[in-house]
Amino acid sequence: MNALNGRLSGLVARVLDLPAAEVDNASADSTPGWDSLAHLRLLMAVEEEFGVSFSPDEIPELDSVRRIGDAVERLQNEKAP
Amino acid sequence: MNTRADLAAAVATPSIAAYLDAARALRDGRYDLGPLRPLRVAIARAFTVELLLPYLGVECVLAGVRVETHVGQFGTYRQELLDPASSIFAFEPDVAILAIGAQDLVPTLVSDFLLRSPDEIAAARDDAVAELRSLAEAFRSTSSATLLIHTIPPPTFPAAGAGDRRLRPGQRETFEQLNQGIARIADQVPGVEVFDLAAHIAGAGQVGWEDPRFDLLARAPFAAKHLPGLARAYARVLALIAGVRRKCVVVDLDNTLWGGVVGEDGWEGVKLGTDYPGAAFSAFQRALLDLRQRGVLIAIASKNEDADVQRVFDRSEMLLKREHIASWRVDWRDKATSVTEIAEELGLGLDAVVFIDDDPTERALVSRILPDVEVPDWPREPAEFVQALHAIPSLDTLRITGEDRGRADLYRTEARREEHRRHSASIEDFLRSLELRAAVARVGPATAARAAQLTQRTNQFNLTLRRYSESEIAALAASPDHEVYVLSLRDRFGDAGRVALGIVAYTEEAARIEALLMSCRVLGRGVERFLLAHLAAAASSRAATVLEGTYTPGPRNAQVADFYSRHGFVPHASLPHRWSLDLREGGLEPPSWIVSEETTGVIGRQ
Repeated sequence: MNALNGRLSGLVARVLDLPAAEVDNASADSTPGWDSLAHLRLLMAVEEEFGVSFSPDEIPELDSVRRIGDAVERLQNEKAP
Repeated sequence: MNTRADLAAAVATPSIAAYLDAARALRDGRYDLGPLRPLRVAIARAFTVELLLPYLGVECVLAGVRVETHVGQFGTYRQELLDPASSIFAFEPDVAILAIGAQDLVPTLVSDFLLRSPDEIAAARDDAVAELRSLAEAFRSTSSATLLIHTIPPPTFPAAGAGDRRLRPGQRETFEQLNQGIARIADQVPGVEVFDLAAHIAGAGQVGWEDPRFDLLARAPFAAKHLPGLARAYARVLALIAGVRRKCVVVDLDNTLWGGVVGEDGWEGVKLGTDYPGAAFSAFQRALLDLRQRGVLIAIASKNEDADVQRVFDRSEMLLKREHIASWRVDWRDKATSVTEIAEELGLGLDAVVFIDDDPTERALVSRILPDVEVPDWPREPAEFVQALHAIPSLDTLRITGEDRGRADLYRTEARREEHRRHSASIEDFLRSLELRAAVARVGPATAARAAQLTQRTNQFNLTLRRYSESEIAALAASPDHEVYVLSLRDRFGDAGRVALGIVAYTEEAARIEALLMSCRVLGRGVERFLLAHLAAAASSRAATVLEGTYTPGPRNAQVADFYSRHGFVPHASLPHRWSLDLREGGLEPPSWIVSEETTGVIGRQ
């Protein structure tokens, strides 16, 4: 697990109030508290934490921690020179 | 157990996760917060407010309120405010918030603004205000809860661009008028308060307050970075509605009200005025004066020699004058004792007091010993003091009443005299410290009414108990062989107004005092002596050689039975209650602690 994933997991656990063990494989489908409001809140928190900005197109699709992590990584790479 | 300060620290670096953590800790009872006012808040809304709620819960606690919230159905605010059976009313709120945006209230003013005629724009504006007002009235007919409406932020990017200010009517201008109309609803419908969202957005930064992505996706208009500030602003208003309001701010002096330490730098060395850092302290004083003018009392607790402090207060750069201070404790005792005494002196509970000190040790002491006192964290940098002062929610106000405007003056006078009485070594020191100034003038048309009133109302310090009507006074004043004198008194605390009167009849060589009286409000300050000395001098100047006085016993004026004897008059050889003073022996000395002010012939001010 890289540093980004560790940070992301910790953040997701805090925002969705999940035990750390359940975070890495969490998705909207499998996580009871991950409703549409929590989804907005989570993505805002991720943007805040990592200094990225998701496009409105991809926001609904980022419905698992893995997908969010990939998107963050991609956006960070795009930002880097 | 965690305290409110810990909660503030937990969200000091605001992030969504920090607020969510804090909100959960609050929910789970992991904070010991002391007394909080409960407040049930229902939100009728046209957009997504749920993201704000965790922030709101935390910020309300920091402002002294525990909120329970209920959010109405999405986009049905009209029905919900109009239907007595709606969930909004079923919640039995203390406060209902109506959260709607420009799109909901005034769509006409948002799109195609440049295609609208001035009449169309004015009608849209007025219709919106009328609609809000009728919603407020409908709400009022169903519930006794406070209705909190807010102003509508103008468009960040007006249709006319940089030319908006030249446009007639401009788009921003129209929103300003709309918001004026919204604010007036609070005057017209009882129990309506206004949150100035437009002003908040302008202050927080208009560009970027909306996040169009989340607005488009979920009608969640507010950008994440603005949610903490917005929640704080709402919490401030809710706390004020809940009655969390403090009436007195106790400030330290050294490095708080001025730069430096007067005991080390000297009264002339402490920093004030127009250069940094003095200018920052002057700005802070100005901000304190603004608070005072809206009804907050200013008191001082300082460890210093009083004489040093008084000399600083003599400096012209001190914007805060002695008369602005409701209560003083300048001594070497601990500040918790001083703050306690100040509250007692002003008749306030400690929960009405805010304590401001640059020294973290003093702050810690006061907040530990007096947990009811609000002790805000205070910045080290004086340039940040004004902002820190305005950040204290409990010193804010939703509306200023006439009573607010006068309150500080009302308190200061008696409190300060009392304080001086306690600290003065002798009664004469005390009287001297009052800086009494008296002016005696002959009565004119503008003052005859007050003179007559004095004769009619004064029962205790009244030598002859004669009552005069206004026309009698006017006639005496116009008569060549009478004079009616009225004395006005001021001291460093304020203007006591016209408080004493003497009427003298002149014959060839004698002057006879027909009336001499004084309001009991100013007993014990030597005012009567001052007036008597003035009468003697006036009689001498009219070539009288003797000044005569009489006493008429009455039910309540025994205290002046020996008045003339005490002032060196000689009792009449045979007639009782008559005295005389030989003016050829040099008249009377007025009290040295009363300064005689320039007298014009007639006192003009009514």
